[in-house]
Amino acid sequence: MDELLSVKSLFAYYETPTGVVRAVDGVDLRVDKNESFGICGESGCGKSTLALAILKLLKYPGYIKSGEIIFENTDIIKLDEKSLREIRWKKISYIPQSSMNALNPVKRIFDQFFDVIKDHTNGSVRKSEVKQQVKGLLESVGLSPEVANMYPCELSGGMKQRVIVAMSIALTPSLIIADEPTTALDVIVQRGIIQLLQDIKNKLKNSLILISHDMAVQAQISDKIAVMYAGKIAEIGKLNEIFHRPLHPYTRALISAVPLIKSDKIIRGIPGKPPSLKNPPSGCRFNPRCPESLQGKCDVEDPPLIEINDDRVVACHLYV
Amino acid sequence: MEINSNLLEVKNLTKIFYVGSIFRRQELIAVDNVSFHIPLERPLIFGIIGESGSGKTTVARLILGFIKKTSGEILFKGKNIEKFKGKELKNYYREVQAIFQDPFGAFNMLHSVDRVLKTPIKKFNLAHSNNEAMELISKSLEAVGLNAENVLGKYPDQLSGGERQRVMLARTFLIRPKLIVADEPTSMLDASLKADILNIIKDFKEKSLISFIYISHNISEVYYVSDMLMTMYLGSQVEIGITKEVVKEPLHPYTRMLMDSVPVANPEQKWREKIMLPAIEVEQRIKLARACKFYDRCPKRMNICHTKIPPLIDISKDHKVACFLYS
Amino acid sequence: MSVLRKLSFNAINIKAGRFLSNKWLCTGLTFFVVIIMISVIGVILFPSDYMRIGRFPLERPPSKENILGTDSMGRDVFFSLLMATEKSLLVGLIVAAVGTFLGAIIGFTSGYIGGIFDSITGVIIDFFISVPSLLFLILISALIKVMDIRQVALIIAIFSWAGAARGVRAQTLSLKERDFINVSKISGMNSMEIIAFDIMPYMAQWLSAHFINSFLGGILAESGLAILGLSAMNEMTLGMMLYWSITYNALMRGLWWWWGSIIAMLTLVFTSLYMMHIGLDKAIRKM
Repeated sequence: MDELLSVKSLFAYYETPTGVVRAVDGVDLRVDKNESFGICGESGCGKSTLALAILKLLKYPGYIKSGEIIFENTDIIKLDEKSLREIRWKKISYIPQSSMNALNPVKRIFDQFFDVIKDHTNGSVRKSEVKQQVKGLLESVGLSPEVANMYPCELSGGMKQRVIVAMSIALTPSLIIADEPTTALDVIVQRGIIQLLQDIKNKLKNSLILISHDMAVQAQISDKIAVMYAGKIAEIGKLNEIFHRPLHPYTRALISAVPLIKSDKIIRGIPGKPPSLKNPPSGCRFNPRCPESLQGKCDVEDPPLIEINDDRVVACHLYV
Repeated sequence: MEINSNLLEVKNLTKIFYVGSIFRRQELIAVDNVSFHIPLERPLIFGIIGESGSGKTTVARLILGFIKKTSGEILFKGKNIEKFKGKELKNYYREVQAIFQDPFGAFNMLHSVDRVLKTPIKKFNLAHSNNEAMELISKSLEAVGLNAENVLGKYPDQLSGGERQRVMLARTFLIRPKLIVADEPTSMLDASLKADILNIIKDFKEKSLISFIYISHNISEVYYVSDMLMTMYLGSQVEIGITKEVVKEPLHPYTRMLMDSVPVANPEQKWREKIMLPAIEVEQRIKLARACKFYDRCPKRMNICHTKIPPLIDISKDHKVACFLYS
Repeated sequence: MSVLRKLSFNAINIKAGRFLSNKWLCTGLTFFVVIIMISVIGVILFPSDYMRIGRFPLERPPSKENILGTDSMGRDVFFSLLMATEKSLLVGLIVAAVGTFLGAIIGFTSGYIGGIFDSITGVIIDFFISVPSLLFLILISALIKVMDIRQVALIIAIFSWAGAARGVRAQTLSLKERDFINVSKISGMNSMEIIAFDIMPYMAQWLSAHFINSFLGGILAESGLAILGLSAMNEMTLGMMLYWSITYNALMRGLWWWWGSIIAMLTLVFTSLYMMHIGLDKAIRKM
């Protein structure tokens, strides 16, 4: 089977003094081998929580309420810390949001690589062995080997991000999860980073989950895209299907909101506000803002996830 | 006396910051000899694009008078704005306004949002009675798609980012200036909200005849909204022209690299070549050699680019490039 | 002038709502107000010759005529106490008012103007903070022949403005760069208005806490000087009363009504002020 990761009915919530935030409220998805899987949606839709949940990195007050995360035939949720450490970084690596700020400001780059490699390797590791490896990793992201001796503050944003990418492939994982890897980066550097991620995917044959609200970036390298809204999946499909034949009204609205350079397309915003994840509206979460909402149905019943074919699902009453 | 037909004229504007301690002072050339103008007779949205470190925000702050220039001139309706103080400065702000990037930081958390709407009315004498003021406020909020009932009396943290940015736009609508400097007004908003703000700005220009200087690193947005476009690189202006022309046929190698790197939300239009990011980067705005700043990364560089500063060359009436390829 | 009026309205508005629900603050404030009222009214009601040396028999314990007895110089202790409290409160008030307001003005102005002016002012502020104030106070008081309690208060105030200035300057420097200050600028507000309406509200609670702190500090400092015999000798403050009671060895000689009432009053004043301080501190935290 080509399947690498399968998420089934995942619920991940946050407990706050004013109520439970239902950040991931029933998500199903599947990532195949050597596939670039994009998750897009606006702020607050739950995509970052989803990433953390997949790696079981949710810390209090966040917790996984229920669901299954099947990776290489094992349910990650049922694993203990020891087994998880075998998976993290070695099988699944993670590039967090604002990861440029995740670098330790008082340690040299080489030492930070060494820490990561040492923590996730069984047995002892010597600095001299790692030196060659680090040089190779830096070169693979287009950085000069001199960078290993530098401190994070001496590097630009783009360089720091490339260091993070290099760290994420240090132990050749089969899945890389990148959460908004290019926000705060300039347009040319963004292109460099995204192309780098694609290069890596072609060489190491790993899968990539790219989380980005930027539809234009998704259009560059994703094979499949999942659109999230208010903690739920709205639609999943192949890249061309999502862009040229979007089914869910939210996907359509999202695409209409993005300006298209060199074209005369008029863009339109979506009226209203994203719903509160503590008190979501009854029925379909998108129905208060949906131009095609069916009264009596959409505001009452939560739409089921309908499978159009193997690669295409949509959660909308219009397609029942 | 020369009749100046420009609303705003920026001539050879340069701003140098001094960084470092007293013992090791270094020059940081944030804005390097930039010139452009906004005409008087018709409204224009002038876009400024550039990456971080390009100096575009510094240009905004210079035009708004928040910092003083090092050399060059900024003329508003022919008058040098550096000399504006007190009443003259207030009159300047009556005609030149701004929208900022951070919709949260633009409000004082301890006051209700009403204050940003009421203060200009009072200070610029925009209404003669309380009733008139309230009507003006209501109309302005309507113009940006907000309902006065849902907004007035609330504190900034009770409104969403998109709503706050709209209130800021309502504020400028109220004042009805001739020019609005918008510094990254949508970069902290979601896609669905960005579209509304961009459309409101277009509306302001068409219906209220207000000109804009629209500064952003998001080139697709600038393409959507602006009539003229200026590219900046490390403080220098690199190309200036009509937006559609500059985007479709960029002349300067840097503008070309930028346009090629803009991700398009269409799977049929992916990036073609692979870009080479520099193996190591050095802070280049400090004491730059007097030559083309793009030399290191330029695919079309020549010997002369390394030795002389490229002059701004007129390609056509509205299109200028600072590149030796065209001399 | 209208700026000042609006300023005070603003400050009151911000304070009123939150503070009244604060238990510490209210209790402390109640005690404090009671103390003020008693001392002021008492001073008005009693004939002033109750303070004349030898007016009453010396060192008498509490009786019907003298509620708290008399001291070693034949003065009525109760009346002395009221007078002394009033004078001490006056010292506290002068120190707090001058210290906090002067400090605030210097802090706001220096922070807002910035540049070299601010750097120099910063150094001056730091100097006054790091200097051991009591030592200097003793030195100054020993050199200058102080006659008036108000002069003593002003001398003490020299060392209390720096604390307020430092806090205010730091906050002003950080707020100055925020966009909302720029929005106020382009709305036609001038520097004074921006300081008053945009920056000051952030400091209102902190400054109130500082005011109370200075009040307390001022009374303490004056009492310290008085005990050493360096305050205004002709005036009667709580510190002076302590001085006289030490001079006449009241503790050893069992004149409990004398030293006891001074200690009790001092404790009451300090406790009420401290309660108010805690209350304000809690309120700031909630913000």
